[in-house]
Amino acid sequence: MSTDDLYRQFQLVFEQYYNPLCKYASSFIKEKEVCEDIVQDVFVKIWENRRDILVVEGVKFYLFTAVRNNCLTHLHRGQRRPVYSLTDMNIEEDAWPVGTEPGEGELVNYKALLGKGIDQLPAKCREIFLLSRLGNFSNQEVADNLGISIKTVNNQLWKALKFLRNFVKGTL
Amino acid sequence: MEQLPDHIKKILLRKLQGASAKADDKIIADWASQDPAYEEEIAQLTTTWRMADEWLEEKEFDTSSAWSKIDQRIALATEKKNDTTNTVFWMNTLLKTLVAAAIVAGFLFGGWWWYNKRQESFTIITAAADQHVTLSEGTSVWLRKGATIRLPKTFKADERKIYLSGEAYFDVKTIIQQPFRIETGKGLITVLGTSFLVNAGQQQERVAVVTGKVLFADKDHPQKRCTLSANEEAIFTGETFERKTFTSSPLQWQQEELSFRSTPLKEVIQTLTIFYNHPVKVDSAQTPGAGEISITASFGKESLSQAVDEIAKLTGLHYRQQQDTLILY
Repeated sequence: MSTDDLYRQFQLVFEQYYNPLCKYASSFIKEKEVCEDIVQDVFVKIWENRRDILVVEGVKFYLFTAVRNNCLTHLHRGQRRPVYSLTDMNIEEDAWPVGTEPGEGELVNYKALLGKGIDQLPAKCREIFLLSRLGNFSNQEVADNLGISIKTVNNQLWKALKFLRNFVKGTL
Repeated sequence: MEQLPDHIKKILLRKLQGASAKADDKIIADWASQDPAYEEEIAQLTTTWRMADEWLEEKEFDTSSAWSKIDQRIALATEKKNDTTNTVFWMNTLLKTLVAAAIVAGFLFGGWWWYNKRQESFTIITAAADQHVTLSEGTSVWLRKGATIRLPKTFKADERKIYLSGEAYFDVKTIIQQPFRIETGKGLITVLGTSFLVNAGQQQERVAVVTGKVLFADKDHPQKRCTLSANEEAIFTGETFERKTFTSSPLQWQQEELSFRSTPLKEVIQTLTIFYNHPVKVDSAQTPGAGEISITASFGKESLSQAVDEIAKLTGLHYRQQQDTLILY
């Protein structure tokens, strides 16, 4: 593939994954600009060092992993505590955060409401849910990516779904 | 609601993720049909999932502006790489490191030594704004904002030599036995007594003589030179001297206003280039004769782009930015 074609491929990949990756990053880091910077850095690095990855299936996997690592590095560097540590992945079925009651005016916009709900998911649960949905990964891929069991992925996805359903309940 | 059996949970998730088989759908449908409450449950979960997907697909971040940033960064990085690869490719890493270290050390020491030495015997004047300086022997220098001159505390007996970068206008006191010399990045200007303008820019240097005579030479090859009389100017690029006579006063900036009276466009842009220290050109290949269009205008405190815009409107030409050059066509 010529450099020009490869660059076009690079742009396509960028356009497809930029938004999902930024959203994924924002599950670790609050500041949106930082999220965008991290994602952009990942893409520039790919162009500089890993062009080969652009044409293979695994690019998605690589992107999400790189963004995740860079987010955690950023948090670490800033002396901020990561949202959570993946090593302690035991799942407590309790400790549901209580979803704040949505105001009257917001009831119409289910979508926005769900966005809020996703924000309030427990951290582990949110990451697994976002990774799975944003990257459209299979549960096995999510499990591989995060180094957890597929059972955990399943449980957490279910937990997320139930949480969200309860969150928007009454508006349906 | 809690009572969904595990296998239904699993299958429903699979279905929502779009990975279910026909048989899965049937299992769920059969299960749900047992009780309207089950059916409701499944429906609610499915809607929630779909809405979450919709939220996730929302374009919250500006992809196209992000792309242009990436594009720019990569273009910049590529340029830099191309600049360096050609010259150093043959050196191995160790050698490169050693040479670099030696060069850096050399520069540091040399710079320190040079700086100290200079500091002892020279006066350096950098003009924060247009500034008038009278030298000890009576010569007047008007420094354009940003110009720097360096001169010895006392001149030698046989010459008065100063160093200039930027633009300055000189009214040199006549001292026959002690010629006045101005060293610039590329040139060496020798005068007896006269008034003239020097613009020592990065790309080119220009000397415009108002009264008297000036000798303008290549500093490294003194045989390469030209003598300028009143109303003559020369532009030196490092290779050749381009000579001509000028019609508008070269002392424009002293009045903080540029004025042109029936001046050919090519001369106008030359003045603009120097005045704003920013390259402006006419694309005469695209628009033949554009350089000859005569301009009568004056520019006060406009920015360069405003001035060029005005010229474009005046002449009916267009302009474009190409790298860091403004091009009229």
